[in-house]
Amino acid sequence: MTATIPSGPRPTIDGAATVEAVMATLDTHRRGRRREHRSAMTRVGLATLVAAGLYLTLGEYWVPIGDLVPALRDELGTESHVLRNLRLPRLVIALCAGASFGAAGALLQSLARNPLASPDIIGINAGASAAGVVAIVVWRGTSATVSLAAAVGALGVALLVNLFGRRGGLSVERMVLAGVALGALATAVTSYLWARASMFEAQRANAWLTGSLVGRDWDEARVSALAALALLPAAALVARPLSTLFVVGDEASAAIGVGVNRLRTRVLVVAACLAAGATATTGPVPFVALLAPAIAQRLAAQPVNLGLSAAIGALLLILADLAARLVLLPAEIPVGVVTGLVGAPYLGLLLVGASRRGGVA
Amino acid sequence: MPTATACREQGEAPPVDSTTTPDIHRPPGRYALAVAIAGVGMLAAAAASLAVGVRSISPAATLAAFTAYDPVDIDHLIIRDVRLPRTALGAVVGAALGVSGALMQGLTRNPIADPGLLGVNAGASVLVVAGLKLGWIGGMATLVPSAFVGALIASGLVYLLGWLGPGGPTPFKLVMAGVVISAFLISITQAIVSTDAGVLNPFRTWIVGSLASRSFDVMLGALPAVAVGVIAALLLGPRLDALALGDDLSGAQGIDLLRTRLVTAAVAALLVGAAVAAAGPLTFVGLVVPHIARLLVGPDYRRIIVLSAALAPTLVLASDTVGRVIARPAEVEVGVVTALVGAPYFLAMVLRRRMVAL
Repeated sequence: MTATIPSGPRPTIDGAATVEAVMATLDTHRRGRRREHRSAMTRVGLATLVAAGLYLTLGEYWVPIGDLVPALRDELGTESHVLRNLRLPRLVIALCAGASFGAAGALLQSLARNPLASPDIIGINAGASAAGVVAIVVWRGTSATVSLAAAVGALGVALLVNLFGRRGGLSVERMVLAGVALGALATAVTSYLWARASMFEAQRANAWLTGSLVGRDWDEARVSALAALALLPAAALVARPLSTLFVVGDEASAAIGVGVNRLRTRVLVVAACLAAGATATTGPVPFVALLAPAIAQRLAAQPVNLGLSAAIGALLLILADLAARLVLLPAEIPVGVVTGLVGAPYLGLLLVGASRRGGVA
Repeated sequence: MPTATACREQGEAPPVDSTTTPDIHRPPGRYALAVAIAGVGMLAAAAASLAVGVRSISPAATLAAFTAYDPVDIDHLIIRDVRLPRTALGAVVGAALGVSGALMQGLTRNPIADPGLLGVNAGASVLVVAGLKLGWIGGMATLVPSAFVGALIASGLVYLLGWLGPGGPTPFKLVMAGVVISAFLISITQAIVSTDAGVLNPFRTWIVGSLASRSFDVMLGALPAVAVGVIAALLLGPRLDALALGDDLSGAQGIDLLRTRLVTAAVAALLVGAAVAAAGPLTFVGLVVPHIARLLVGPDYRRIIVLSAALAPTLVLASDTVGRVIARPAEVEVGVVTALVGAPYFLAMVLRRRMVAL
């Protein structure tokens, strides 16, 4: 891997560096990769378009490509119903949630300077799972209640991890281990409630816990789209100072007027909100937030690879859900199973590769 | 303080400090005292586990169930047929988890090695679910070997992944490898569970970790594996002490590193597999108990193993008894109670950096 987030020694600037020198470093850094980044963005965008076309075409009910546009315009007929009420809302959710997961992963990885930092690993998904299962089993909530609870659970764990990771200086390793402990605690709550639930609720909880897009409708798609539309610009706002911080380090950032600690908290909150918003509609889909930035860094390395990671996250979730619908036709498997089976081996490779470069551990 | 691993990378001898090499034998009086107290604690926990439960039974009646057994007395029946098997199983499972935790920590020289964190539970789960789905698991008797084999395979994979790359199995890498392997196996488990409601029901009651509703046969099924495992662990003790000196020094002492590690990993997996199969995954017991034992009696592994074998059953039985009482008339499974106790302890270890260096 040539261009993952550098986890070795960070680029340092001598304490006496002038503001001009810092700005110059930033400028050359940004200009260098711009063309590479633009071409990667175009390729991923085209791939997403193709994937979206395939997503609408393929399935148990086959809609020929030529019929897509007329069927989308039409109000009647089976094709039109399948496309407009079943596949299109689901595609919108895959797109928005995938982009949110990817963006959250990109922010967290740059914040922690570690390609393994992601909502899956630091317990955010486990927190969302536990809260979601509480809503399903204890409150017998509607899907809106479950979504809200999941978002609250994800944010709660993120804040705790931040709190623990910060004690006596931010330490990524401490943050990750604290996330593992909190995740284990949340998992105990989940399995306790799961064992107690009625058969119906247990199945509902299981379907949600795996991460699935089965049976999502326009109401949920609208929520997902709104969350993404509100949060992605916020992510873009924090990404620019974050990339400054990433490139020139703490001291030099402070010298050019970046409030380092406030920025870190802001980045963590935005990332957790992105993950929470996506988890609310899809359930805790594993690995998208981890894989998307890793792939983005391979295509075109950036200090904070926000846009490309979001695009790749969307592409990944669309492809994974397409596979989830197709592999066992006419049955469906939850999309979380697909991302887990594909993502875990990739994470394994990443772990070995990172330790070989002496990055992790 | 530089860790032994870091020094090994730099080609230096490990640092000599009070927690590693010298003072390996603390005063024998302290060790004897710790073991005696742990033994008394275990007996007290066992007595509580027999006497306390959803149905209140007086201590006199509890005693009478053994001294003057009356087969038509419902209290006596509950004690002999329900609580006695449960208590015996708790003791066996606890001992297995405590000793396997000590072995894993010695093997990886890592104070946060726990069967639950290192993927063993996910491995047992996936084979249990596969067995339920494909029909080779009919009851607890057939569930136990499947869970055992699954635990063995998964722990092998985690060690392999954690060991790859230079630097060996650092704490962070092993935990990450456990997360990776677990995530993969959990995906397979979920794929099966979410497509088959017939598997979901037995699986969700097993995965939470419980000692309830197990007959004596389950305990007897686990007992041989645990007995063999504990004896083997005691025999391995001195070799683990040598491993703690670092690769170079233990190699110089004529210890075959690879063989010692393989045997230790196999024994640990045997113990965990038996425990997980019988009671489901009980997280954090194997992590917390050896850590406390090390704080009490120092770094001699034979002592840690003996003390863990007494402390862990105490923890499991006490947790099980507490779980029966706190939500009366319902029960909280022992796996939930151990997680609620263990996770904060683990968190405190991480935050305070009080992990004893290995």
